[in-house]
Amino acid sequence: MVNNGSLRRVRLIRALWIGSTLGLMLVSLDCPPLRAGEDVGLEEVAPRPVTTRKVSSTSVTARPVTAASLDAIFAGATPVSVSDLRAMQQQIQQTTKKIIPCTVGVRVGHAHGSGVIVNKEGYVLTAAHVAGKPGEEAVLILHDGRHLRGETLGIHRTLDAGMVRITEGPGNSQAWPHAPLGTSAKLTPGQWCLATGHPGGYQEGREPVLRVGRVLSMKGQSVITTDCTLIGGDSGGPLFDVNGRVIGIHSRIGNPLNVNLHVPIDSYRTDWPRLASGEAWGHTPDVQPYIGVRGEKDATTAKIARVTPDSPAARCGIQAGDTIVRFNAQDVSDFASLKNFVNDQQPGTRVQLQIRRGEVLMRVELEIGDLRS
Amino acid sequence: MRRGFVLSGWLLAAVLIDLTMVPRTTGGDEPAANFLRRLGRFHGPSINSRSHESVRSAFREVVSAASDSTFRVLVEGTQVALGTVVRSDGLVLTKASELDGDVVCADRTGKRWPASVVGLSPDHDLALLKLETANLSAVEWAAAENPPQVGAWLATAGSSADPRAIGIVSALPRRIAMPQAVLGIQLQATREGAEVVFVIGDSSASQARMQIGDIVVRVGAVEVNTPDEVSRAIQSHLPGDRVTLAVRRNGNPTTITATLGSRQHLGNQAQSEIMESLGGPLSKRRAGFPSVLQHDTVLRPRDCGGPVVDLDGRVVGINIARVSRVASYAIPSQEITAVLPELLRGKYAVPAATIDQVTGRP
Repeated sequence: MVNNGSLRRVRLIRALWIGSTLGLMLVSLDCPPLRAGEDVGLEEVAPRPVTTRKVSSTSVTARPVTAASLDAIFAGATPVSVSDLRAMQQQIQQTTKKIIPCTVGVRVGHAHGSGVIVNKEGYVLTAAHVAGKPGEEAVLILHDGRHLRGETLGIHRTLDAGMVRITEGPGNSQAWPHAPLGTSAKLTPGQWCLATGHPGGYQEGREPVLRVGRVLSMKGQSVITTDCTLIGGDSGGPLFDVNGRVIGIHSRIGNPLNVNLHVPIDSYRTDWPRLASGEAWGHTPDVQPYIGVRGEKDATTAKIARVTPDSPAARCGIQAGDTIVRFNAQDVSDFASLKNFVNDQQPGTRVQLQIRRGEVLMRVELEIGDLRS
Repeated sequence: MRRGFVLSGWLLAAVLIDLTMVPRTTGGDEPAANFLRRLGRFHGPSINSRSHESVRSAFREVVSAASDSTFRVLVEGTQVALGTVVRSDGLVLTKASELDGDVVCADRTGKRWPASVVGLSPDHDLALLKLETANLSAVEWAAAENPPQVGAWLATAGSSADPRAIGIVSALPRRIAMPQAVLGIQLQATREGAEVVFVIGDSSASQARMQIGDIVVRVGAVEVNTPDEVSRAIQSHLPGDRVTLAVRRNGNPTTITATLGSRQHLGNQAQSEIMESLGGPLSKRRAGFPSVLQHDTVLRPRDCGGPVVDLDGRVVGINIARVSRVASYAIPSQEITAVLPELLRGKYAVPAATIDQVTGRP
């Protein structure tokens, strides 16, 4: 059933706005990476039980919505009456008032995206493909149109997680408006959520744009799928639970309206120290970093059994029998750790390796290659 | 032109990435096939999705009155829009730019009436239709002092008991500027006339295969002799309009049909079109409105023209355009109640020639 039409449909397209006029480009078609040489299958998303509230025919008549039943609805039970809808609306509107001021437009060079302020010091979560790289100047645009100076901090390219910081002070208020972090580990299909951002990029006279939808699936730590519709410019914007806690960051979309993907918030919490310190790691999903070596079977060191001809390793003179002992400033304990180091690099990055050949230690520099190009 | 160049540079890179990322179908494609199958599951309506019928049916009583005031608007037997009954004696508002031929209206029982266009507001893209009937059920407008706030539920009535679609208010009413239509050429006045001296890559001109040296002599029905006249003629159209150009190429008359782009996406047209329409078709006319309420209801272009209601069942606006993957626009009720008397007085009824262009009617 793999025909061109369905192939086109499944290409997950990450949108990044470029150019002062918001011309846009399609940056990556984000199929999950297939690691060559390893048979990495895709984890199956286990179908989750659907939570529906039992609806008897009598329950359709007007009845007050208790806090407990509103919680049940927002957790995934189906609203059955106008009073259910009214209770939902009241909560959604109350939360909207809190989350709009925390949502920002993010401009880094030609990239136009969105973000969310998550502490009073002005740290902003966004997507890695919006932040671009650490240490760049950024402009952050508040909901009321105020433009603020900022800088990009760390990026985790594999997950598409990025961090930016407002470098101006908040003035008299002494704290930036900010949204609390929620948790993404326990999200379940059917749960209601809110998305904000700047579709098409920040537009004067338009506050961050609200969308409401539901969680459709969770894939481990790597991605949340919802039917909160997203488009270019929303990248980096926040996904909230109905209480206004950030549960994800908008990352990419597929053609169907119900393929809107968000980076789960838990990974930001785990990666916080690295992101805040301005580290860049991982690789974008459209590439597969490699250097072109195979390890010796059962070796306890990163001893090279074979070098792929015309690979980055071959070009810098690495030979079978060499042992790689250091990768940049870090010790390489075995072949698995070497693989991890390579996997954390974007192709095109230059790295220093230290190699032991017999009794001789050598230093070589090589450029990480891309197995997919 | 520097910007255009930079953009096409990026574009090329993007296309390359695009091509290399098609899931490979030869050898060891099991993961890709799994992925396709898994993604296929998303296509079906999920009980967990926001607009699943189980959720929509909770809105049944909300749209019950508005559904009686919602008509289907047909041209040559095909639904092109919905219509909103604004007065019981057969007055129906609908989306003007979809009316390309003789118009027939059908109520929810399927009963049909021929309709004539008696008023037109090009600014709002609204047409006022007259049906030879009485005793229709007119809509009840929401109170002006209580407009819907961001996060309010909205339901779009259709011809069945459940709403056609549901959504929430995404942004407060605002003006949407008319985008400027561009062809993507540079012209010079020469002895021959308006001569093309540059064709911008990935523009409507390049898609239509215009060439350097072409002399533009006519844009649509308008004769042109100078670069200024060409720009004026182009700018009288909207992005997305198909325009026939008469050109002289190496002395030979040639006809070119171009779909105009917008200035915003000049040099980046194909990519912008792909991005904008991700997730479904869009209305042809979807910009240039004095005031719109933006909501996240997923509509088809032919669902525009009908009433959208709040949880009290009051009409807060008329859907006027499917705009992008994330947005539909409605003309707010206040705007409509303000323009309606003008339409009824025929103030906005434009000359026959213009009606002709919009509706295809004499």
